[in-house]
Amino acid sequence: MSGETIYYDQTETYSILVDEHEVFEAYYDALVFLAVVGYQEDEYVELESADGEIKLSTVLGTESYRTIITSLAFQHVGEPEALVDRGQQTKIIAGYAAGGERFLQREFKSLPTGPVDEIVSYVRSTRKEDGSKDGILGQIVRSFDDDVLTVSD
Amino acid sequence: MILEQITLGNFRQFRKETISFADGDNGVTVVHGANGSGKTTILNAFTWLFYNEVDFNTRPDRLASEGAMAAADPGDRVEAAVEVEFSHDGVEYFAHRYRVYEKQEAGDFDGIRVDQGVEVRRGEGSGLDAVGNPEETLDKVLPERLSELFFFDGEDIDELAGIDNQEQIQEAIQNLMGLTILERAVSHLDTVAGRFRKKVNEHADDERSEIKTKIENVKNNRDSKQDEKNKAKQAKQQVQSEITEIEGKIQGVKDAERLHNNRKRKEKERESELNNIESVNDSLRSTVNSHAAASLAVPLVRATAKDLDEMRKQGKIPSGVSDEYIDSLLDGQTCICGRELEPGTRHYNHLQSLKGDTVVDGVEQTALQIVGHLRQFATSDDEFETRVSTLYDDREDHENKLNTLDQNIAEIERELSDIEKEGPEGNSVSELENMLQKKRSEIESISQRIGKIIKEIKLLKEKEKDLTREKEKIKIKNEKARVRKAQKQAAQEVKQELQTTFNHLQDKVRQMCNNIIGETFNDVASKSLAAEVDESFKLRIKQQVGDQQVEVDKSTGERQIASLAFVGSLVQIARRRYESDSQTQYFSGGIYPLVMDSPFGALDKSHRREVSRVIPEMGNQVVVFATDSQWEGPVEEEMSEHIGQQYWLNFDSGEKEGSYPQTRIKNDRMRAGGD
Repeated sequence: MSGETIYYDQTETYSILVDEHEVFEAYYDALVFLAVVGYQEDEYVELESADGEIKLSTVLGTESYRTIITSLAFQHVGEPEALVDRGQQTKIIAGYAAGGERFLQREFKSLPTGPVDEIVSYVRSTRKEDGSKDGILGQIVRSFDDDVLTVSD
Repeated sequence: MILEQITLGNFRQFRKETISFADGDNGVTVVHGANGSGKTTILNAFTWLFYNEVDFNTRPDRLASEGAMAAADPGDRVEAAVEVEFSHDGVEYFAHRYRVYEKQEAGDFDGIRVDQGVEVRRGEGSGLDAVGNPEETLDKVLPERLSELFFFDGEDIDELAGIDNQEQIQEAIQNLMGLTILERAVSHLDTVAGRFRKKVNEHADDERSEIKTKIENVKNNRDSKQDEKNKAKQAKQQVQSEITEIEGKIQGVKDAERLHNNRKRKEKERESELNNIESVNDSLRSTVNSHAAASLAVPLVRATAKDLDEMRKQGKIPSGVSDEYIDSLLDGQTCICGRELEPGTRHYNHLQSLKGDTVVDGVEQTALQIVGHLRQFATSDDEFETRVSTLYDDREDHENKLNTLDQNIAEIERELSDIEKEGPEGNSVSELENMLQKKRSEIESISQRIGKIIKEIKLLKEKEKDLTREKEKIKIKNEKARVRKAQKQAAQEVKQELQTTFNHLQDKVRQMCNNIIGETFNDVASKSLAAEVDESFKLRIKQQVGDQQVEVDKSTGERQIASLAFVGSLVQIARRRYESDSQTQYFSGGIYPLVMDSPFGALDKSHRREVSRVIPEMGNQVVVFATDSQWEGPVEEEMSEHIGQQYWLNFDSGEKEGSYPQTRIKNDRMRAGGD
């Protein structure tokens, strides 16, 4: 697993988001965010070539990113094996990241001058429902708890 | 005036003698006396009584009778006196003049005068009262100026007709008419006019001109000072406005400094707010970095968890968990559902019991991890929203502050811009303070100068006031001068008028005289002769030679006749004027007695007769002194019928031992009785 690398299209957007405006601390932060945007906007780009690369292990070091990457892979493939297929995961995250980057390029007017507010605004606009325990998410978690971790009295 | 009686007491050779005078139709009183018997003394008694004047040839100061003085002892007093009773205008008068001598020693006939005086008493009906001004009363009744006309020495009367006696004739005419008063008035008016002329000259215009020049100079000086004061005031105003400007500049500079400081502070605050905003943005970026992907991925993870849940329910994904995963949960003491797992608790023990029962499979584990992270994603999403909201609120707050600061700074810059537009260039506050100090000193100096000028103006005003007062005085003096001039003019005009009147009256009287003289002289003198007072007031005697009257040499007798005729004419004119109804201020005339001493002395028998015929006609009352030789013959023949009183002077020369010169007066009865 440690040998897997994400090859992605390191466009100027990465430089703007990371180097210029420091919206993200690292390129892989930007990569994950762009991949989520790509998924959200259903934008996926099949990359034929890539000029950027990031060790997958680096990204997976952050637990939430691991969940995001495996979820993206699962959603993209629709098979449980995608949860553990690192090869697919590196490819799929790069594809969604490219889609997200293309969306930002197209929709974010403030991208060259400082896109953080637009990013925040975009994120907030996607919140269809809250993530509290009382929501659907909570029901799913309780379902897993009940089935997997039920403590017989 | 009518003489009634004269009494001489111890007067010269008379001891106590009285003469009563005749008047009316037989108005002639004759006093006979030899030469040296006292005729002239009686004449002098009249002039002494009336005018305190005597004219004696011998020992004129010895009035007291030698006999009385001889009879007196040393230390005794002797009074020499003359008393005259007369009437005038229906009023009775008694006049008494006396002089008292004190005999010093035996043989002293002169004595020392120890007292003298005159008293006049007057009255109508019963009793006489003393008058307060006897001398004036006497002069009024018989003016002294006329005395020579009415009390005269007949032996000198011919002098009136002398060659050079026109002045005496003229004076006689003037005296009789009272014209002397007019002449004196004319002369006095001349003096008055001269005095006015002098006064006019004293008030020369030079003085006024000089004072006017002085006032003009003071006025000019004051105007000049006023200008100077106005200029100084303007200068003061100018400096004051400069001071105000400098004060404004100083304030401007101070304001500018204050604004600069304020701007710096605001800029600092702005910088701080910018940093705050940047800090917020950093936080925002950090939040985005840490939470945005997770928040945005909530639907992804939720969909994945939901799919996996469905697959688990369908048995496509085993539900067990690996021992490794259970250990990780137990080590972390947190369940995948987030519940705390403390050792010894029921849930901790339950999870531990699951170990060893499951088949290890990466798919199942990953699925469990995803589901397990669902809550973290939800939490992360909430945190994102909370943080972002907070940060946005913070940032908005800072941005508002920043906007306010920007506005403040803009305002300050605008104010600074205004100050710089109006304010000085390159002057510091201290420089401006120095300038201000100088200007204030300048103001002080100008104020002092103005004060000095005001004092000077005040002094000049006072001086001008003084000069104006002086000018007023001069004006008044000039007014007086004008009045004097007018008075002088008036005096000259009055003088001229009086002179004309005087000349006219004088000439009128002269003509009246001539008429009477003509009649009288012709009666007395030869028919071929005529007498007249010519225009130069010479009494001339002319003879008709052919068709012409030629002035001829006159004998003493002829001159005396002419003179008497002249005097007689004056007395008649005076009487006529007195008796006429004419109301004239001058020359009112009068009735006067004629007292003549020896009027026949130089005349031959023929002329004596003629004169004697004239004399009784000359006045209402005539007193004639005559020697026997003068009287006897034609005079006595002509005058006897006109005599009212007649006296004889018996003179004793006092040659006998113990006797002294004395004249006794006797009348007809006395003479008939014993002499």
